[in-house]
Amino acid sequence: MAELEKVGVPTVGFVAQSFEKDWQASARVFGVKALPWVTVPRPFVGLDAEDIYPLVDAAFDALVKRLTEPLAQEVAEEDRARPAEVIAVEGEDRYAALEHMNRIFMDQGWGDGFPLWAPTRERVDAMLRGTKRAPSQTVAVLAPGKGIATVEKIAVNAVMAGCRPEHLPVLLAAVEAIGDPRFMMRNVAMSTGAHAPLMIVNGPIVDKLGINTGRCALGPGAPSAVNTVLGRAIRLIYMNLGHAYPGHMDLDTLGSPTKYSMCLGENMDASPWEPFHVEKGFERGASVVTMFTTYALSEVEDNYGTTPPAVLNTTSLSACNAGVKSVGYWLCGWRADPDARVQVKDKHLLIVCPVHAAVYKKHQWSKQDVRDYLYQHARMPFEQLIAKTEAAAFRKSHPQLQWLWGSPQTLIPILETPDCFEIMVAGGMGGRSTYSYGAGEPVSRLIEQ
Amino acid sequence: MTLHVLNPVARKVEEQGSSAPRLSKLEGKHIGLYWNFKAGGDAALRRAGELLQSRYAGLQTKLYVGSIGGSNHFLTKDDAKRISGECVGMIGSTAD
Repeated sequence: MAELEKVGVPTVGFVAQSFEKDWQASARVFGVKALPWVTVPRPFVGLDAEDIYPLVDAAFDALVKRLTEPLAQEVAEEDRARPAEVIAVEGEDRYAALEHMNRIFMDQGWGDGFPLWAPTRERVDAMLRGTKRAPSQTVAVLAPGKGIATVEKIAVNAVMAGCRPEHLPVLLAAVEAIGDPRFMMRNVAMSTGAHAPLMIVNGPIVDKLGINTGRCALGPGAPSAVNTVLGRAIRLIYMNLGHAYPGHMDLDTLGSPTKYSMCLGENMDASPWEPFHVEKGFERGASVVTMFTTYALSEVEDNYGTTPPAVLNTTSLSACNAGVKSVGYWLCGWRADPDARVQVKDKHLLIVCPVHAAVYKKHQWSKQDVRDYLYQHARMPFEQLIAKTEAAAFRKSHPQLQWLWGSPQTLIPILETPDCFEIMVAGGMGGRSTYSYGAGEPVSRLIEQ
Repeated sequence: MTLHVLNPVARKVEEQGSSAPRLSKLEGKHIGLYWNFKAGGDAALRRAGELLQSRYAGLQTKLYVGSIGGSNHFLTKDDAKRISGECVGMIGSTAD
């Protein structure tokens, strides 16, 4: 809508209550301070036409006014005055000042709800010694708020999360990854879905930093302390650098505990395959971080299967969850960044536990064998997947598949192509892999040594 | 004591743009209806179009969808340019 205003077409949008702040914030990001809207009491989703029409009728007069009358009423709320770059916090003693800082930061919306470390000049300078890059260097401009993520701002949030200087290179590479248009940050950070960033680390840096690849790799607890702070820093970066604040530009319906922190390393001791990052084209000796957005994680519990098909049959059943957006998403098209004109397929990630990895190893199944099996067996009836998909989008995106309307029981793959199943190995000993329903594709970056 | 801490929030890239002038009247105009494919948006726009056509003589409407995307289809800059040659106003529904 902002692009239309910029080329001289007056617009007005229907905006549901509780989405107005997001509308205004988005308008400013897209360069149109006054982007007119009319408020309706609730979103149109989940309503029949007979329930939608009265909402439109009630808003119609206001809608006409927005198209025809000067925009005096549409001045977007002024940004709160930006706090200073150095904030002075008083307290009776150091502990009281730290508590006071936490209250201020939470009032501003700058934290995740857990106590924050104080980003003093000294601590941030210490953090910056973890990289050779200049503090003022821009690593990425992050959606949805087009925040300028400099090395120093990343370091500030790393301190707040409890990271150490040796963690900073991982975070810098991770920010490069989420700043890549193929990561679809604007889409995944703003959605009403519970999109959570998963950080995967490969290479020598895993052991060097003590990133957990085994039991409880996704936390919580002491074995995953490094994992926890790295993942936490990413959440703070989403908010403070990407401006994806809950209720402001992050419109997640319920939220998810996975959004606090998700980071793990790959368990190469247990893997029968080449490392995840080598498959992505990096040198074996390189240290690499991959960022991947997930909707949800599902257990794949199978303590009985001793052959790949047995384990993968269980896996396929876990994968076939129509309630997750990305299951069958490909029917309506591809995730897109309209500014970069990039489109990506939705991919899912199978985190194979060592017990299941040993099954594949015994029977000499490659990753491709696993992908092909999942592609053939993780299928659902067309009528189940299209029921939660916009038919018009399906018609537009796949005109060649319209014959499926006449054969609605046809089993179709939940993901578009076999390569949409990503695979890595992690976890401790137990017959429990994890299936992660992704949103978009993983994006990998080299970590500076 | 005073603790001095750094502001964690990034400055934003400021994009400059302005809103289009409003229409002096709606009679006889071509008004676009933009639907991003989110559920219910089409019904809302259909109703808005019906009301406009019933109230303003000679007004015509046309439904637009974005050229790129999945469950949400987005308008690109090229789409906006093309549309600006076809209609003089747009009502949009993202259904959120």
